Amino acid sequence: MKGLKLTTKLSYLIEAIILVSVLLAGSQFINHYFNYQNNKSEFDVKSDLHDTTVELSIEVLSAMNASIYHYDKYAAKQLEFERLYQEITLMEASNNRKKLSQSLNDFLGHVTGYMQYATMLKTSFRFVSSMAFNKDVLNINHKNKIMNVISLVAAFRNNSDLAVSNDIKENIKKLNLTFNGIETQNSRWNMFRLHVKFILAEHLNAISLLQPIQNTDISREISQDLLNLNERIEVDFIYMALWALITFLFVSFLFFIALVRQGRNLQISNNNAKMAAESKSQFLANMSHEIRTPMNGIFGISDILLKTSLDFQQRSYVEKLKFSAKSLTIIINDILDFSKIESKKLHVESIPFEIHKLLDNVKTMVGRSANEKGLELIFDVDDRLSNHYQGDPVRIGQILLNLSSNAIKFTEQGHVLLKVFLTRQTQGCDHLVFSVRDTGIGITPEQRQKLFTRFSQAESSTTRKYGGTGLGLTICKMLSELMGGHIEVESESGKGSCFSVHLPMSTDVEQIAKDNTRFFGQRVLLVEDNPITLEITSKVLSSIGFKVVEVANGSSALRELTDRHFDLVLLDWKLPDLFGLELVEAIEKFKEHFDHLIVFTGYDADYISTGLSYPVINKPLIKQDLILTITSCLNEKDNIKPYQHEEPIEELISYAHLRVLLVEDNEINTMVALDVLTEMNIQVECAITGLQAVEKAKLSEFDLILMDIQMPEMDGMEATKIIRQFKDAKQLPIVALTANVLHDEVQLYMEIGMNHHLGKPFERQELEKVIKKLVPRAH
Amino acid sequence: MTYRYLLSVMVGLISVAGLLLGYYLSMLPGTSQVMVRTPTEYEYVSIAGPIQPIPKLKSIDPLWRNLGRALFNSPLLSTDNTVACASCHVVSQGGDDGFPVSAGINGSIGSRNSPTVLNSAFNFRQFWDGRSADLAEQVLGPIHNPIEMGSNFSQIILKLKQSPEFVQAFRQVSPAGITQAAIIKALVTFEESLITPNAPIDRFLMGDKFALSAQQKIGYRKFVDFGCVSCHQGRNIGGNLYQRLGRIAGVPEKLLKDKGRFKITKNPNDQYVFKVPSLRNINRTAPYFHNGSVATLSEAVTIMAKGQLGIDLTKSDIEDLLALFEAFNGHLPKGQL
Repeated sequence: MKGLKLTTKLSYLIEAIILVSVLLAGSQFINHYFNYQNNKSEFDVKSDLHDTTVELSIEVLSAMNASIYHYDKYAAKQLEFERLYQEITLMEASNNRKKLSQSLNDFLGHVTGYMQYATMLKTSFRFVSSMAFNKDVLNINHKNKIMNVISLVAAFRNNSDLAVSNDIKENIKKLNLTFNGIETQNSRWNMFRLHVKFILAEHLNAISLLQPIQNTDISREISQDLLNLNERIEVDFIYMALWALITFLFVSFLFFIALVRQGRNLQISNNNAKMAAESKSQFLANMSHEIRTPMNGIFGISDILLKTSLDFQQRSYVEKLKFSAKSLTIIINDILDFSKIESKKLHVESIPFEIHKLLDNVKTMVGRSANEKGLELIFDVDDRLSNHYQGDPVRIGQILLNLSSNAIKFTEQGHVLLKVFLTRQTQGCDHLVFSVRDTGIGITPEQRQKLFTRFSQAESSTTRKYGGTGLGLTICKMLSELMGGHIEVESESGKGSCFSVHLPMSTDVEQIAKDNTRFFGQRVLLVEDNPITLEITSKVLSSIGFKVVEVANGSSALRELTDRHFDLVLLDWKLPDLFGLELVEAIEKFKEHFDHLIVFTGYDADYISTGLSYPVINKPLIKQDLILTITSCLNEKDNIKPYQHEEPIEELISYAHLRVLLVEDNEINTMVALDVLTEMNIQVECAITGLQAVEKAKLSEFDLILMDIQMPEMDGMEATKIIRQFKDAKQLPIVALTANVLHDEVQLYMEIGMNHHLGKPFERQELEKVIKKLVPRAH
Repeated sequence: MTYRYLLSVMVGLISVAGLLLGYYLSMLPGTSQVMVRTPTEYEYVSIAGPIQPIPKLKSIDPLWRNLGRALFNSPLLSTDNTVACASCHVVSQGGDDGFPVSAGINGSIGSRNSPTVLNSAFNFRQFWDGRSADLAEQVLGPIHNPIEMGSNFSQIILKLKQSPEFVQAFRQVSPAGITQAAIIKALVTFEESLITPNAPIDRFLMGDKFALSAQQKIGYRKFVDFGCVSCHQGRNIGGNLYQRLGRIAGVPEKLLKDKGRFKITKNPNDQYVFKVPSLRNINRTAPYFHNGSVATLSEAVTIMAKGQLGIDLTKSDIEDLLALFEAFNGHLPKGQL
C-alpha cells in the first residue's frame, strides 16, 4: 500500500511539472506577444513619422512659394509630427536609443525657426518688389536707385554662393539708401529700407536653416529603423507562434497523460475485477466439492439407516431427513449452477446423444411422482427427428427435468405432455422444440413477467406451498440461451401452462441408421382412457405399421375382442370401468381373440407386488421401448417374459468372491460405500491416500479398485498412473469415484488408464453395472 | 478517485490560465479608453486665399459637451473652490476675462494674458508659448498651476464624487465613472463646441460681396498688402505659426520683458518668439499681447505694423484696419451659452 502511495505521489509530479511548464511557456508566449505588439506599434508610429516628416518638409519647403497663402496645413503637419515625436521619445526612453529623437528634435527646431523667417521674408520680398510700382517716388534718380536695389535683392534671393551674396550686399550698401528729405516724409521709403535691411540680414540665415531641413537624415534613419523593426517583428512573431505551439503541446500532453492515467486505472480496476471473478470461481469450485461431500454423506448415512431395523416413527423421521437433504441438494445445485453460469464458468458440451435416452432419463426421474399425484405423463416425439444429435444431453436433460417437475408440481389433475418436434431444418442443424404442457394452475400475466428473473417465484407464497428457490426457470433460460436457443411460455391462469424450449441441434454426427422396424399391418387393439395418451400412442403404432383400433374403456375393449381378432392388445392398467387384475382376467377370457397382450401402466405399486406374466411397458411411452417390447414379444411367441424396467429386485448373482480396493479419504463416504459393498458380500480393503492404494495394490491382488480423485498426499490420478505401470486396464480395472464429470475430465481419466467412473455416492445397481462391464469373473 | 483526479487537473489548468491572464493584463499599457463618444466633426470649407472660413460644427457628443460645460463653469476644479475655467475664459464676453493678466486662487496674479477660448480648437498650439499641443494638454496647465487653480485630479475627483449630479452625469457617458481622462474629455468636447462661424469676413470670403462694408473691404486689402496676412492667416486668422515679436524693428520695452518660447526651448533664436494669436473676435479680447499691456486695438495695430513689417500706419490706415477687425467677429451657434 505504501509503495502504491509513493508511486501515485510521484506520478502526479508529472502533471505538476507539465502545469509549471505550461505556465512558463505561456508567460514566454505572452512576453513575445507583447514584444511583437510593441514592435508593431513602434513600426506603425515610425512609419507614420516617416510620412509626416516628408509631408512636413514639403510644407516647409513650399512655405516661400508665392501661391501658398496660409499655413494651416503646415500647422497641422507640425502638430502631427510633434505628437509622433512624443510617442517616439516615450518608446526610445524604454529602448534606450536616443539618436533618433535627437535628430527629430533638431529637425523640429529648424522647421519652426525657418517658418518664422520664411513668413516674414516672403512678405519682405513681396514688399520690396512692389516698390517697383510705387507712384510716390518723384525723383528719377531715386526711382533708378530703387530699381537697382530691387534687382540686386532679386539676385541676392536667387543666389546661393556666399561670395556673390556678399558682393551684392556690398553693392546695395554702396547705393546708400539714405536720402535726405525722403526718409521722414515717405514712410513707404522707410519700410523699403527696413525690409531690404531685414532681407539682407536674415535671408541667408533662413537658407541655412533650410538646408538641414532638406538634407535631413531622418527619413533614412527611420527607414533603417523600419527595416530593423520589420526583422524583429518577424522574429518576434515566429517566437510568439513557437511559444504558443509549445504551450499548446504541453496542454495536450497534459490531457494525454490524464488519458494514459485513466487507461492505467481502468486496467488496474479491470485486473482487480478479473481477480475478484477468478477468486469467486475458485471459491465456487472449492465450495462445490466441499458442499457436495457432506451432503452426500447425509444421503448415504440416511440410506444406511433406512436399511437397519427402525420402528415406524424412526423410519418416518429418517425419510423426512432424507427428503430435506434432497431438497437442500437441489437448492445447492441450483445455486452453484447459477453462479457458474453467471461467472461464465459453465461449458456446454458437444457430444452425440440420443433423444429417446434423454427422455428415458426424465421418465425415470419424474414418472413416479406424476403417477403418485394421479397425473398422466405423456411423451410425444416427432417422427422426423434423427436418432442422434450433437449437443449437451446433461443440460438439456436438466431443463426438461426442471420443466417437467414444475409442471407436475403445479398440476393437481390432468396431464403433463412433453412434446419434441422439429420446426425447421437447415444445413447441419435441426431446430427442435421441447415443450412441456400441463393442465395445472397456470400463470397470470403479472406472474409471467417475473418468471425468468432470478430469485422470484410466480407467487411469494409459492415457496411456502411448493418449495424451491425460484432459480430453476432462470437456470433453464440461461442454459437454453447458452446452447443457442431460447425459452417461451404460454399460459392461462387456471387452465394450464406450456413451456417451450427452442434449441438448434447439430446433426453433424454419425447417424446410426434409423430404426426402420416396420410391422406389416398387424392389428392392434389399443385400450386407453386418457384421450391424449390414446391419440399419441395410436400415432406411434400407426407410424410403425400397425392398424390401430382405439377404445377408451374396458367394456368397449371386450366388445371389440368379441367381434374380431387382433394380433396385439395394448392394455392400459387403469380403466374407468375395470382395472388391475380384474381387467386382465376379463381380457384373458378372450384369449383366442388375440395373440399377444402388453400391459401399459404408470408406476403402480399394485402391480409391483403381483408379478404378472405379461410384459409391461411403463408410461410414458417411448417409441423405442414399445418397438423393443413388441419385437421381443413377437419373437418369443410363447416365451412370455416379464419385461422389467430397472426395478430393484433381489440379485441372484453373488459377488462374494470379488476383492475390491476402496480408496477414499472421507470417513462418511467410506462408510456409505462400504455399506453397499458389504451388502453385496464383496471383500473390501480400504486405503485413505493414493500412496496407500499403490502399496496395497502392489501387495495384494484385487479385481477392482474404486479410486476417489481428491485425496491428500497423492491424489487418485497420480495413484492410477503409478498402478498402471504394473497392472494394465484389463488386469486391474480402476473406477474413478467422482461427482460431476465433464466430458473433458472423463477423457482425462480414460487417458491415464481408468476404465470408468462412478458418481458419489453410488448405488448398488450402478456398481453392479460397472462390475458387470469390467470384471469378467463376475458373470 | 478518477473524478477527483480530473477535477484537480482541471483546477490546475484553470489556475495556470488565470495566472497567465493576470500576467497578460498586467503587461497591458494603461490606456483607459473612455468609451462611447461620437467625435467632434467640423465641416471644413477650403477657399483660395490666406484666410479660411471657420467650419460648421457637423457633429458633437451632446452628453460630453453638457458635462464639459458644467465642469467648465465649476469652481470645484480649483483647490479652494473659488476659480473655475469660466472665471478667466468668459464665454459670453469674448472668451477671455478682460484683464491684462488673470487672477487665480488666493488672488494670485498671473504673468500672461488669458487667450480667448473661442475658436481655440483651431490653434495649432495652446498657450502663448505653444507649450501644449492640444486642448487636452492645455487642461492640465491651469489645474496644476499653483497661481491659477492650484489643484490636482485626485482632489477634483473626490469633490466631484460628492455631487450626485456629477456622478450621474459621468456614469451616463463613461462606465469608468469620474476619472481624469473623462474630465479632460468632457472639457475638451465643450471647448470644441465654442466656435464662431459665419463672421462677416467668412461670409465675404465665401462669396457674399455685401458681407463687408466699403471701408472693411479697403481694410482687408490693406491687411493683405501690408503683409499682416503673412502671419495672421489661415482658419483662425493666426494661431498657426510662431513668430518673433519685433521682427524687423523694435517694439515697446514693456513687451520685451517676457522672453516667450526661449523659456521652454532655451534656443537663443527663440527669444521673444510667441505663438501668433488669432485675430478673430479681436475687439472683444482686449487688452492685447502676451502680457495684456496694450489696452487699445489701435495701439496694438501700430506696434505690430512697425515691429513686424516696418510700416508706419496712417490714421486712416488704422481706422480701416479696425473696421476690418469688426468683420472678424463671429457668434456662437444658438444654444451654446
